[in-house]
Amino acid sequence: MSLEVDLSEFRSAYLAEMEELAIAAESAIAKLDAADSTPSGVRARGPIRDLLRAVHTMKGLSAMMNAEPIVELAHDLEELLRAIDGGSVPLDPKRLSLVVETLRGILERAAAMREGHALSPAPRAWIEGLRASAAGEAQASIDAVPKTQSAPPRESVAGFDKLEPDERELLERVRPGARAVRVTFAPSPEKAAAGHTIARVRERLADVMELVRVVPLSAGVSSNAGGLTFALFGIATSADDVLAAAAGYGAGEALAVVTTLFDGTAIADGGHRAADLLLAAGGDALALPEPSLSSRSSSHLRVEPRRVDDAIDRVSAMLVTRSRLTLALAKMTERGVDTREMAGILHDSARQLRDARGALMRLRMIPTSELTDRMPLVLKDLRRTSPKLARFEASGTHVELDKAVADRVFPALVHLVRNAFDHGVEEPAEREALGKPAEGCITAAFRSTSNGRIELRLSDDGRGIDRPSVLAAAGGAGAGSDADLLALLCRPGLSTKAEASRASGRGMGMDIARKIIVDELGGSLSLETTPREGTTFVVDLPLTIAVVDAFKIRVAAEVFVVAVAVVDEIVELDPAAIVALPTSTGPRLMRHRTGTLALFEVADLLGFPRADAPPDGERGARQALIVRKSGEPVALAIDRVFGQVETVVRPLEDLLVRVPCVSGSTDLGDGMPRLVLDLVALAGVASAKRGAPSAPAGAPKGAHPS
Amino acid sequence: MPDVLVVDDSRVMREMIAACLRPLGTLGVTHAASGLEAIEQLSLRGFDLMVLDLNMPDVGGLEVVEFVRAQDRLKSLPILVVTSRGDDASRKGVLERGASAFMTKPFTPEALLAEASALLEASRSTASATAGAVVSE
Repeated sequence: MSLEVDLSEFRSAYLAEMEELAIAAESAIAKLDAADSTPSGVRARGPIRDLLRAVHTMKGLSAMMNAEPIVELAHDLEELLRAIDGGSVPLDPKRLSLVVETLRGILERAAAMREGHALSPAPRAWIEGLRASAAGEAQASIDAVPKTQSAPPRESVAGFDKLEPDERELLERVRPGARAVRVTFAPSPEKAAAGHTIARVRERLADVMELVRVVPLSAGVSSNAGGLTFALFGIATSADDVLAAAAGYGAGEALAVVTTLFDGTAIADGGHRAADLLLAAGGDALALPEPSLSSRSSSHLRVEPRRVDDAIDRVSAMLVTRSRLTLALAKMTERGVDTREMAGILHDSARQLRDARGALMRLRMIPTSELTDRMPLVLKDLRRTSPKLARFEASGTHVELDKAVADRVFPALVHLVRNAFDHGVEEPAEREALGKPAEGCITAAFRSTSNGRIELRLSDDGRGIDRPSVLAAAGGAGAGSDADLLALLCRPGLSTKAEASRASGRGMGMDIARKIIVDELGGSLSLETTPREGTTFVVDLPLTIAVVDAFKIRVAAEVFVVAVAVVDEIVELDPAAIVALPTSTGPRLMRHRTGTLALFEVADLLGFPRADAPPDGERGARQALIVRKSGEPVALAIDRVFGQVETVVRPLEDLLVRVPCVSGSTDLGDGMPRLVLDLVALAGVASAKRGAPSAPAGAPKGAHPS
Repeated sequence: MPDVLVVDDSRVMREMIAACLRPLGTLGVTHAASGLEAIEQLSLRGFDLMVLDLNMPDVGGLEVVEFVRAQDRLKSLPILVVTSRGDDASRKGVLERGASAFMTKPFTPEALLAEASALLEASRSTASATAGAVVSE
C-alpha cells in the first residue's frame, strides 16, 4: 500500500475551481453593487453569504495547495465579510472597494501560480488594512492596498536587498501620490563639520519623508574616503531637491543621491491601477483579472475547450477510419461479396459520425450573456473615479456564439463600453440640462441575423460624437458620413480629448477594437451617431470562427487549404485509369473502384495552368480529392496533399476579393495568406460548366495516360 | 470495501480527500456537494466513514452532525470534520455534537489517511463488539 499521494496533481483542477469561485464572487459583488445604486442602499444578505462562501472555499483549497499568500488574504477577507454579514461594520463603498481589491489580489496570485511564478506574499499593510476595516477602525484601508505591487523588486538598487520583507513591501505598495525613494548619504569629516552627520541627516529626512530604514553600505559602493554610505529608504511626497537638501546636498546633486524605487505619483486614487492595467493590456484585462470567459453559470457544465477540441478530433479520426472501412468494403465488393447491407450501415454510421461532430462543435457555443454579465463590473470600475452615472442593459443575451469568437471579441466590447462611458455619457448636470435622466444608459443588444451571423448594437444615450473635434484631431480631413467618422476614429493614435482620460481616451482603443472585430474575426464595425442623442456601434460577427482541420494542398505550384471534413477520400491518380472524353475541354473520367468518376482539374477550374507532373521535389503521383456534390462523388485533381493543419478560417468579406469557390483565407503560420477552397462549390461549378457526366457503369476502352 | 461519504462544496476538495484515502485500497467514495446532499445520501444507504466540511451552503456541517447523531442508525458513523483556519471556534461545537475527529486545512495526505484509518479501525472493532450497530459492509 503506497502512501504516495501527491496533491500537486490537483493543481490545474484547483486553478479551474478558483476561476469558478472568482466568477461566483464577481456575480455576488455585482449584486451588492446593484443594491448599492438603489436609493435605499439596502443590501440583501444573500450576495454577502455567496461571497463569503466563495472566499472561504478559496481559502480551504489554497491551503491544501500550500498557497499561503492566498490563504492569508482570503482569511482576512473572509473575516471582513463576516463582520459585514454580522452587521458589526457597514459595507460602505470603501469596504466594497477593499473587497474587490483583495479578491483581485487573490486572483492575481492564482494567475501567477498558473504561470508557475512564485506567489508574492500578502503585504502586511494590506492584511492590516483588512483587519482594521473588519474591526471598524478608521479606514486607511483602501490606501493600504498596494498600487504598484506588480513592480519588480529593485534588487539592483544598492541596499534594497538588506531590507526586511515587510520593509520592502512598505516601499512596494507605496500609496498613490507618493513614491518610494532611496536617499544616499556619504559621511565625511567635512560634512560632519558642516553639521551633516548621519544622525542629523536621518532626523531631517524624517521630517520630509516617511523613513522606513537606514542601511549602511560598506566599501566599493561609494568613492568617499571611508568607503561607507548610508542608504535611507522611505516614502516621500517631496521633490528630489528637498530630499537632497535634507541630506546635506545641493539641488545639483539631487539626481545622484535620490533614487525613485516605486512611483505612486502617477496614481491619483484607488481605482486607477486596474484601469491602467486594463489599458496596458489593450482593454484585455477584466474587472477581476484573469478568469477567462469559461462557463460561469453553475447550471452549466464547465469543460476545458481543449477537451471539446480533443473530442472533435477523435470523432474526426473515426470519420477517417470510416472511410477506410468503405474502402475495405469496396474491395470485398470487388471480390464479389454482397455488401449492400453493410454499405447501408456504413452510410448511416458516416452520417451519425458527422452529426456527432456537429453536436460536439455546438458544445463550443455559449450564450452572449457571458459577454455582457461582466459589463456592469466594468462600469462600476469606471464610476469609482468619475462623477458620471451610467447603467448597463443587455438584451438578446440568449443568442449563442462560438466561445472562440466570444473570447476574442470580449476585449473589444470592453473597450466599446468604456468608450461609451467615457466619451458618450455626459455628467449628470449636463444630462439634466438636456432633459435626460441623470443616469446614462449603455445598452448591448444582440440578435442573430438571417445570414448565420450575430449582430451587436452597443448604444449609449450620450452626447454623440463631436464631428468637428474628430475632424480637428484628424487634421481636418473631410468626414461627412458616419463611416468616414469611424475610419477617423480608428486611426491609430487619434485622441480628441486634450487630456487622455483613463478609461478609453488614449487613442489606442478604437483601432484595436476594429482590428479584433474586422481583421481577426472577419466581422464588421459601423457607427451611427446623432448629436445629443447618442452613439451606436454596430458590430457584426460570425457566429463561429471555424477552427478547422484542413489539408494543405498544392495546385499548379500554389498552396491552398481545404477542409478535411468535405474530403471523402484522397486517391493517387493512376494515369492508366484516366480517360479523356472526346470533347477535349471536358472533364476526364477516372476509374474508381467499381465505377467511374468525373475528374476535374482544380487548376483548370481556378484558371491556372495545369501541371500534370508533380512539381519537383514532390514524390509520388498526383492526387485527387473525392468530394460529394449533392451526394454524387466528384474527383478533383490536384498536385498533392502535403500536410494537415488545424487553422482558423477567416471569411473573405470584401466584395472585391470575394471569389466563388473560395470560402475564406487563413494563415498557416508563415505570414502568407492562403485561400481556403470550397471544394463542394468548386465541384458544383465544375458540374455546371461542363455538365458532369453521370458515372457510366464501365470506363470506356482505350484509356490513355494523360 | 469501506464506503466513504465525502462532503464538501468544493469538487476539487472532494477529489483531493478521495485521493488522500487512495492508499486504503479499494474504497467506495460517494461525493456530496452540500449538507443537504449528504443527508440525502445518509438516508439512502450506509457508510463506514463520513469526511465532512463545516462551511457549506444551506445546511452546514454542524447541522449534518446533529442530524447524524439524532438517528439511531447513524449513531456510530465515524465523522471526520475537515475545515479551514478560522473555524476553530466551531471545533468545540462540532465535537460536542458528536463529530469523531477534527482536522484543519491544510492537512497532509498522510494525516488525513491516518485519521481516517484510525476511525475506520475503531468503528470496525465497535461493530464487531456491538453487532449490527454499523450499517453497510
